[in-house]
Amino acid sequence: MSAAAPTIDGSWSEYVPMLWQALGETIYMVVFAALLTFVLGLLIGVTLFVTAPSGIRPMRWVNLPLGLYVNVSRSLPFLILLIVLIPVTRFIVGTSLGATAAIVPLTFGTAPFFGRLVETALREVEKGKVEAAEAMGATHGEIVRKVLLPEALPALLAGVTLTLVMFVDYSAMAGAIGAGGLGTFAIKYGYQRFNTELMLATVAILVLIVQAIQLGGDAVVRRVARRR
Amino acid sequence: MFRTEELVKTFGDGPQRVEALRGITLEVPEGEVFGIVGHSGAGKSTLIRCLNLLERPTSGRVFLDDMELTGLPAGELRRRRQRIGMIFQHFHLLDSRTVLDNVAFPLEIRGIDKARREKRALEILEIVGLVDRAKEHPSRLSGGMKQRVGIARALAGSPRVLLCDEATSALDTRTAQQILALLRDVNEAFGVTVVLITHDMEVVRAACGSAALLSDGRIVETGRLTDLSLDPTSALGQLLLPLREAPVGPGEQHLLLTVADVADGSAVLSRLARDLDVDVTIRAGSIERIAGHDVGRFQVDIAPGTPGQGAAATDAVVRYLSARDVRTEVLT
Repeated sequence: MSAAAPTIDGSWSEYVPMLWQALGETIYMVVFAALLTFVLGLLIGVTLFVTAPSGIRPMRWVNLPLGLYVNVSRSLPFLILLIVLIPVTRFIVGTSLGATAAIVPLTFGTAPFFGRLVETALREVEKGKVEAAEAMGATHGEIVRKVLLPEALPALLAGVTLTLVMFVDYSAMAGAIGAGGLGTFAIKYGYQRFNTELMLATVAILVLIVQAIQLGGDAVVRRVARRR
Repeated sequence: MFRTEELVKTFGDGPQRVEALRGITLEVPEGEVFGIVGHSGAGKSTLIRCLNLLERPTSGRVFLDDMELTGLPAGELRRRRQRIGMIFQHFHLLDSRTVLDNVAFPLEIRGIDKARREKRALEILEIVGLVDRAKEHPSRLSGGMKQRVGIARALAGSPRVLLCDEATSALDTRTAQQILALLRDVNEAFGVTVVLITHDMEVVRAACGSAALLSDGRIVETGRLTDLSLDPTSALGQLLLPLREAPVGPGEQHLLLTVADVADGSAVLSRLARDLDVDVTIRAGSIERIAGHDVGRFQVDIAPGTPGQGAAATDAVVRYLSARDVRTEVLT
């Protein structure tokens, strides 16, 4: 936190700029980690689906290790993953503290989850549609780009919403070990200074963010679904 | 056109092993509407899917115009498939695309530019009568319309052959008849060979010129419908002209007659009665429109016309009918 820390018995107004800064950090973490996660998770999900034994291009030696990676990283509690990944974060970012550093564990922790969501969404696409495209002579790439992803779009967007909400949750958790953002703010000034009002204010902001994501996501899904 | 040699397809292994096709050698005649008939589980869906190799046969070979499809590398097979249209029982249209973009899809795969493929798609939609729904999504259409879009999509790439996998099974009778009429039109107007599989003899009668009967993974019979329907020993003929079970009692002559066209005005039964002085009782009968003719099959009892007089000899009746193009079998 770069802003000057208020005195212990500081008034409400002293905390407001810091709260804004924390909010900014949270949004920064969520947006960047989300972008990385969606790209990575899409790759993971499509690969899992395509290389599965029942997929359009079965490849055991890709599918099995990738599936194992996804399952292992999903069975680790996020808090453990945060700590386990500290050396990796240091290597990539140069430090394990701050919002930028938090993007690394956030991405690693969430991409496998989003990957599974993508895989599940693709499985919901009627197999016959893929077959129809195969019968037309489409390549595997065309089947992914022109059939699977567009047909699964509503489910994919619902998965995006779900994952974004998870990011807000996880980024707050990352705050506990020094990521900055609303999580750090709540712990530092709300919890450790017994400032219940600040705690509640942070919670209220988190609730608002999650609500906004969910409502926005639902609206987008509805719009897409209506156009088909 | 399509030709298969000793196609075998098995699914699963060990005790779960299922032999869907047990050596199918078949030739689809060029320019025909060819029906593959069989009960569910007979293997007909596997067979039609083996023709464009959506299903890889376990052994055996598939030829299209003397080109062996089973031997082609993946890329070449894809290019061949672009000339084989296919429609499905559940249509399998893309909900994410408009009707127009669905029909243009095979052309998109072929790399044809947007303006040209849309022009072509509109032309085809005109043919199937859905040009006014081009901008809508398939979810807004009825089942019959969806299948029309499916047909348009299959035809967009100007295929020489159209494979129909139970194309009318999900539709009500009237809509199914309209779709079959459309398939017939497509066959006649563009010379597109149509291969359809069905369990419904009504579909065969309405659309097909020739057919194969598939049972338990084997071809039982194959031939032109006009020949099959006139042959009382043909299994397909019996399915085309089903007769109810009628008793064959002692003391009378029982005949099975097949008339090539009951509407040709020859009044053959009443003439038989008059000329040979016999009474004719129809015990079972079936008249169906097959390949454009009203073919009739009747089981009749023949009795002397004047009581006390001896009956006309059976072979006299048979000779009389045979001379008038009525296939006659003596039942005992």
